[in-house]
Amino acid sequence: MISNRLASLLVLPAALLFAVLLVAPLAFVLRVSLLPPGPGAPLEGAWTLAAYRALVDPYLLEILVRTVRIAGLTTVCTLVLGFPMALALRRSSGTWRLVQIGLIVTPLFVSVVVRAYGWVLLLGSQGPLVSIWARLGGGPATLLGTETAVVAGLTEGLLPFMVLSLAAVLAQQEPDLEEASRGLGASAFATFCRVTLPLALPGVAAGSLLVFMVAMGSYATPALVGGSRQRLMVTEIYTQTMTVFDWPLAAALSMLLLAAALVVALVATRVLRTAGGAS
Amino acid sequence: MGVRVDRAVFATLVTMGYAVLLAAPLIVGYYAFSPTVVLEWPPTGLTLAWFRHALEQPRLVTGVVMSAVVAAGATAAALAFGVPAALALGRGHLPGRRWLTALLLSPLTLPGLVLAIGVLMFAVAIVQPLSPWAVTGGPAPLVGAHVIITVPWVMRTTLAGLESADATLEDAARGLGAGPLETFRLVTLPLVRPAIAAGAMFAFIVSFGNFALSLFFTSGRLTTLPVAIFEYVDQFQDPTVAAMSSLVIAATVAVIVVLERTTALFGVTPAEARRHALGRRT
Repeated sequence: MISNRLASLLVLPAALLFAVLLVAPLAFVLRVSLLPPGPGAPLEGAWTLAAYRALVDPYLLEILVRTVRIAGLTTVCTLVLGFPMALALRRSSGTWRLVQIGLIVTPLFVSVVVRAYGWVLLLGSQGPLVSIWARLGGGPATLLGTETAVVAGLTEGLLPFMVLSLAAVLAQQEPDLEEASRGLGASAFATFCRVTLPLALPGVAAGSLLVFMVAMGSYATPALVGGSRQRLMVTEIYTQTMTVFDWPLAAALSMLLLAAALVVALVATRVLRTAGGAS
Repeated sequence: MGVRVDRAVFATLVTMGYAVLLAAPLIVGYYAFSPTVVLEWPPTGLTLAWFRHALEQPRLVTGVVMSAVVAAGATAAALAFGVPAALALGRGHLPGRRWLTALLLSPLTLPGLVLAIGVLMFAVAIVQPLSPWAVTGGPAPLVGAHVIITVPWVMRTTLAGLESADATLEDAARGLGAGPLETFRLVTLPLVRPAIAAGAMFAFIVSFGNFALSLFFTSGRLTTLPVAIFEYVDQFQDPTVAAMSSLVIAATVAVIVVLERTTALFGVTPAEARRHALGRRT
């Protein structure tokens, strides 16, 4: 154990660093969000909530709703696709297990831009999906620029997070429970619904929280795969900051994004606590 | 009979999941060798020409160098700030250490864009006017933003490593008269080194591949690889970017494999852990 004096000394540099690079900047963004908005707006002035008109403006509201919808769909898709993968991982061992872990973890370290680019190739007009569809007769010229494309790209990018969250919780489960259930005559599906899933709820909540929050804040995938037709909070914030220079509005949107993420985090933590307590 | 169907259904579901997961990187790899600009199946041939073309693009090459330099700097900073902090929070009894830990780990879950906006606005409006030399437009805000996302990775793995390392060994050393620095060097560090190495690796790779932060701080002179790739894809529709990306994917996989071998990244058996803790003196 370390004395409090030594501990304070050790943690001080990091704490100061974060104060300067995280806390102060976020506080400043909060301040900027309370300034009068407008293209090229100056960074000083009266205190006002005008920039938060996003809650009222239909254009911005649509963007917020679309962002939440896409993040939600992505979370559901990662859950549906990821659960079997987590189960398979839990039941495997040895080299096969290492291979699965490798396959799941490695994409995380490939830049998000590269993965999104892969989806551009897959869904583009020259891509395999469009050609197969065309050969079957009909189908659109390209699958890019749609909400489905963005959800697909985000699902692939965030699948590892969901699988790992689920696998961590499943690893703590007793395999005997599942065996007992099957032994008593329940089908695999019933066993899954009645035994595995309820016990895995903390992992579901943790994974869903992580996926939802990262999806809410992602830029590269929606920008490359969705293009200008899929405007999300993040792309809008970028435009307002770097093109329109309406920094108060950009700051307000950022604060909304942050608030949405924190609300989801609180709800999920509450669910985690009750689910953990129940089982 | 029911079991066979169950197994088949399960196997299909799992395969679907992996297909979605790996489709994008695989197609990037495939496209990198394509002799034609148009994606074709079956392939009419293989070529390395796009790799050569990729290495001739000044923006892409500068991007690789810049990304590597920024990532190395951010990782070094993450180690310098994060390891002591993890020690303080993992082995100390500071009041409010839970809040501090949450703060230092928060960038892992906060939207990167919000962090970037924060640093950008803060640098432009507050730091620059107060500073005698040029801050914005230089690498400082970029590196600073990257440090914010690398420190949590080092901290998280180091904290986990400290948790599984046996603290009683350290107490024993202290009881035998060793000072805190000596204890750290001879007892704690060998036990925690794999975790720290893993954190450094994650930090480097996360920084290297980061897009959301770098986007706000790049300019004509200063660009990172993900941003350079993004810009290229905007303008050209050929496999050059696929080739460059394949090189990066291959390098990433190689680094992960090497690190897994040397630091047992994905877990150690108890026997290995014991051998490791006892060191080579026995």
